[in-house]
Amino acid sequence: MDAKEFKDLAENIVGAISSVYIGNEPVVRKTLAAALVNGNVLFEDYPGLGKTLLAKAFGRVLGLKYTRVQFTPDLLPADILGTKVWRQNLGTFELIKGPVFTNVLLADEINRAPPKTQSALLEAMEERQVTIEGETFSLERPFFVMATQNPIEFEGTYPLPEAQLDRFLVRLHVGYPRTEEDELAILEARLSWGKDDPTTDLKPVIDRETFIEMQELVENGVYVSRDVLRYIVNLVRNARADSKVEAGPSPRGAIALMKIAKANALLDGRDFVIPDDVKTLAMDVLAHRVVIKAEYSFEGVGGEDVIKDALKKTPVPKGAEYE
Amino acid sequence: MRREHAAILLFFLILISTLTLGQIFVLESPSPADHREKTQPLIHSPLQSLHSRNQAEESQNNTERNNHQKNPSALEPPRDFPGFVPPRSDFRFVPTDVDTDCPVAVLPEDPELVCIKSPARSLPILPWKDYGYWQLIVWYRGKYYIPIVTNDGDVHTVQGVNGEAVVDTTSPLVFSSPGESFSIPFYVSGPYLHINVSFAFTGNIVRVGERNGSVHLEYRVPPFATREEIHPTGYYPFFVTVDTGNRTYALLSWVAFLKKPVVEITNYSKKLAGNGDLPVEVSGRVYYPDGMPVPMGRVWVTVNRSKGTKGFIIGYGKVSNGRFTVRGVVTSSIPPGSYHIIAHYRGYPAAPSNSDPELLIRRRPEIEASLRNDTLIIRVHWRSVPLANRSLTVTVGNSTFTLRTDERGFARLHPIPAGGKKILISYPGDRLYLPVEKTVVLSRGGENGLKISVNRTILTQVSIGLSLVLLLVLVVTGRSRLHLNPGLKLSPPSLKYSKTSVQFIEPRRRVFLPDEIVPVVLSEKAELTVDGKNLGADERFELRLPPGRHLLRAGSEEIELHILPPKEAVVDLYEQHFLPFVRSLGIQTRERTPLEIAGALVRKGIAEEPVLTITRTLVLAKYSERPVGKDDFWRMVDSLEKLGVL
Repeated sequence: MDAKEFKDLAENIVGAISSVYIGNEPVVRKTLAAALVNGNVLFEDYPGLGKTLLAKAFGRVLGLKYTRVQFTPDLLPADILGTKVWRQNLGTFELIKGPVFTNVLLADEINRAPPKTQSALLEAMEERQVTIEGETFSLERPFFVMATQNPIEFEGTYPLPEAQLDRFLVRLHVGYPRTEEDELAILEARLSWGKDDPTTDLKPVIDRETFIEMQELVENGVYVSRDVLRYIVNLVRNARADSKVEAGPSPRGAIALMKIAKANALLDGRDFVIPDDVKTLAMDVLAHRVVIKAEYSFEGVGGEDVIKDALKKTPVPKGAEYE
Repeated sequence: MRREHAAILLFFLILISTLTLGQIFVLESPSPADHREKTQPLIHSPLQSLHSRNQAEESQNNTERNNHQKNPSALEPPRDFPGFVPPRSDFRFVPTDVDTDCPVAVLPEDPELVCIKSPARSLPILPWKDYGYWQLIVWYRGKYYIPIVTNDGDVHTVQGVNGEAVVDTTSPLVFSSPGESFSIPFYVSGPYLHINVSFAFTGNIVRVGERNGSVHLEYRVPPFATREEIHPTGYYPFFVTVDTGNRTYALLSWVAFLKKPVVEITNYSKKLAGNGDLPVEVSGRVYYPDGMPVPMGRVWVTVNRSKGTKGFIIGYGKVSNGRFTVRGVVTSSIPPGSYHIIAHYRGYPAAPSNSDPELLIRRRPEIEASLRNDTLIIRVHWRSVPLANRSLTVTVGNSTFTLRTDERGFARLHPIPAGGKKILISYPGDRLYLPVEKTVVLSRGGENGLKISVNRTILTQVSIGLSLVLLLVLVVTGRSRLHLNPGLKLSPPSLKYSKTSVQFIEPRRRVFLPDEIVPVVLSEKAELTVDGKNLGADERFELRLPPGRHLLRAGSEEIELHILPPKEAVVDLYEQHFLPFVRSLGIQTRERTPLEIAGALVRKGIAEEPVLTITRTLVLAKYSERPVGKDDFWRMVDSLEKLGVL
C-alpha cells in the first residue's frame, strides 16, 4: 500500500461516516487519524451533538468488532473485563470475556461510572491487555476505546482522573453544526433515513486486515524530519513552561502528537509530516493533558488557552538553519 | 348599534395600519437624510440605532459631562470608561501607548489611511452592563486595543485584550465612487448564529463560498444605492457583528466613498534599453471630473503587458495640488516588451490613467560560447530566457556564417574552419533585444582551459597551464568572468577606486547553485573582493564560486552569497527572499507554517500560482526525504520573479 492508496481508502471511510454524521468532516478525519495509531478518543461535548452516533459509525465502517458499554454508577470492573466462573460439570474455571475483548470499545458516558470501573480500562487502553484474577490476556489488534462524556453535568458523575485522561490520544469537541445549511442537511438526512439510528444501514468499507495494513503504513511509511520533531518538542515544552500550568503535557503527549501527525499526513496523501499536521492536532492531543493551577482554573483558564499560547509562542521551522 | 360601532372602529384600524405600513416602505424621500433613515432599517443596525440614540442623548450627555466633575458616579457608563460614545463615521484612532509603533488610522482629516498594511480591524465585543452598548476594539498586530471616544473627540486607549478574530476581511479598505456598485468581502471562521451589518449603504449579504473552514461573504451594494445626493463623499465605517452564541464578535473596515478622479500621464519615457535597473520618470496630473485638482494622495505607476492584467510596479509618487512625478525604476527582472504605462491614484482599480501611453523596454541579450570537440556551441539568452529562431552571424577569419538559434536559443558551428584564431559572434538585435557581439579567441595546446575564462586584465596575473585548446572569451560588453578556484593566485591590482557610493545592482538573488555563474554588476567601476580576495576593478563580473558562503565587498557595500545544492538552496531562497517579502506585507511569519503563510498571501490578493509553487517546493525540500533538483530550484526562482521579489 502506498500513500495514494491509503488516501483513497481513507476518503472512502470518511465519506461513509460523513453520510450519517453530517457536516463535521474535520472531526471524522481526526477520529480516523487517532484510530489509525490505535489511539483512544474522548468525545466531550454537550448532549445531542452526535458523539455516540459518530463512535458507532466508526465501529461499523471500519469492519471491526465493536461493542458498546453504557457506563452507569453501578457498573463494575468485571462488567467490562469479564470474569471466571466455576463450571461444576467440567471441574474448571471458565473465562467469560467482557465487552473489552473487541476491536473498538464504545464507552458511552464514561464519567458516569465510578473511578474503580474507569481504572479497569487503563491497562487495556495503554497496554492492549487485561488482567483478570491474576491472569493476563492480550487484546486482539487493533484495539482502541472511543469514549463519550458530557461536560456540563456534574451531579452523579465522576470526572476522569488525570492518569486516565493522559491515556486518551485526543479529546475531541464535536461542536454544534457550523452553518444553517449544515443544520438543514441534518434534518433532511433524518427525513431520508426514516429512522433515528442510520448506522444500522452502514456497511464496512474495509476489512480488519486492510485497516491493520493502513496502521502499519502510518507506523513505518511516514517520514518525520528533525525540524518537525523539534517543533513538537518546543511546543510541548512551551506549554509546560506556562506559568498557569501545574502539570504540563507529558512526553507521552509529545509522542502522541507525533504519531497522530503521521496519520494526518497520510490522510492528506503525503508520506512526510509538515508542521500543519502538528498544528491541526496539537489542541486535541495536548489540551486535556494540561493541569491548570487552581487560582487560574477559577478564572476560567483551561488547557486550550495554554496550548493556544504555546502555538503562538513556538516558531515554525521553515528557514535554512544550516549552520 | 354596538356592532356597527365595532365595524367602523375596525375599518379605521385597518386604514391606519395600511397607511402606516405604506409609509415605512416608501423609499422616496424629500431629503437625503430622511432617505437614509428610512432605508437603513432594511438591515438590522445596532450601530445605526446607537447613532440615533446618541444624537438623542447628546444634549443629555453634555449636561451629564458638565455634571461629571460634580458627581462622577452618576454617569452611565461607569467611571472606568468615562465618556464612552459608540463609533461614529468621524471618530479617529491615534497611536496607542501599548505595544504599537504606528497610528492605526486617522480619519477623515488625513485623506490617506496610515498603516494600510495593518489597518484597524476588530475585536471581540465585550458585553458591558447594558448589552445594547458596544465597545469597539481595534485589532493591531495580534493585540486588541480599546479606543474610547469621548464626547469632545479625544481618544484614550484604556487596555489591550488578547483574542482571536472570528470575523475578518482581506479588504479592510474598499474604494468606491458615486454611481458605482461595490462589494465588501469578509469571512467568518467557526459556527455562528447571526450576522448583522451596520452600514450607511443599503445592500445585501451574499454567501460566496467556503474556503479553509471559513465562510466567505460579501456585502454587495448596488449602483442605485450609491448616489451622491444620498451619501456625501467621505469615509464610511462598515461594521459587522457576528453572534456565535457565546460571544459577539465584530469587524470594522472602511469604505472610501470618494469622487472618481481622472489620472492623466503627461510626460514619460517612451523607450528604455539596457540590462539592469533602468530609471524612468513619469509625471502627470490628477483631477476631479469638474476639473478641480486633487489636493493630495499617492500615485503608483505600473507597466502592464495589456490592460486588465496585473502589471509590474515601477514607482510611487505623491500628488500635490493635482500634479505628480514618479521617479521609478524598471527593475532588471522585467522582461523586454511593449508595455502600457498606467498611473493609479490610490486604491482605485478603476481609475488608471486615461492617456494610456506605451513604453518599449529593450534588453541586451547575452551570448555564451563553448567548445565541444570541433563544434562551437553558441547560446543566446536574456536571464535564461532563450532567444529562439534568431539569426546570428559568425565570422571566422575571412569566412562569415549565418546561423539560426533553435527553440532553446542554441546554435552550432561545425566544424570550426581552420586558420582563424578569432571568432566574432554577432546578434544584430531586433525590436525587443539590443544588438550584441562577442569575440572568442582560440588558442591551441592546453588540456582543460575551457572551464576558465577571465578578463584580460586579470588573466595576466593568473598562472594557467595552457592545454590542447584554450578558449578565451573576451566579452565585448566589458564583462569579466572569473571562476574561483583554490589553485588560482590573484594579486591585487594597483588601481584604487572610491569606496564611497558604489552599490551592488546585481545579483539581486543571494542563493545560487554550485555550477551557476554569478553575475555581479556594480553601480560604478570599483574593486570587488570575494572572501577577501581582490578581483580587480570593473563594473561587471561573472563569478563561479565553490559551495559555501561568500562575502562580496565593493566599496563599503557587502553582500553575502550562498552557493548550495538544490535542496538547501530552495530552503535558503525561501528564507532569504520569500519570507522578507511576506513580512513586508505585514504578515507575521514566525509562528505560521508555510501553508498558513501561503493562505494569508492569497487572502491578501497575491497571485496564487507562484505562491503555491514556492510553498510546495519549500515543503518538499524542508520536510520530506524526496530529492529536490535544479528544476525545483529554477521553478522557485521563476515564481519569485513573478511575484517581483527577484
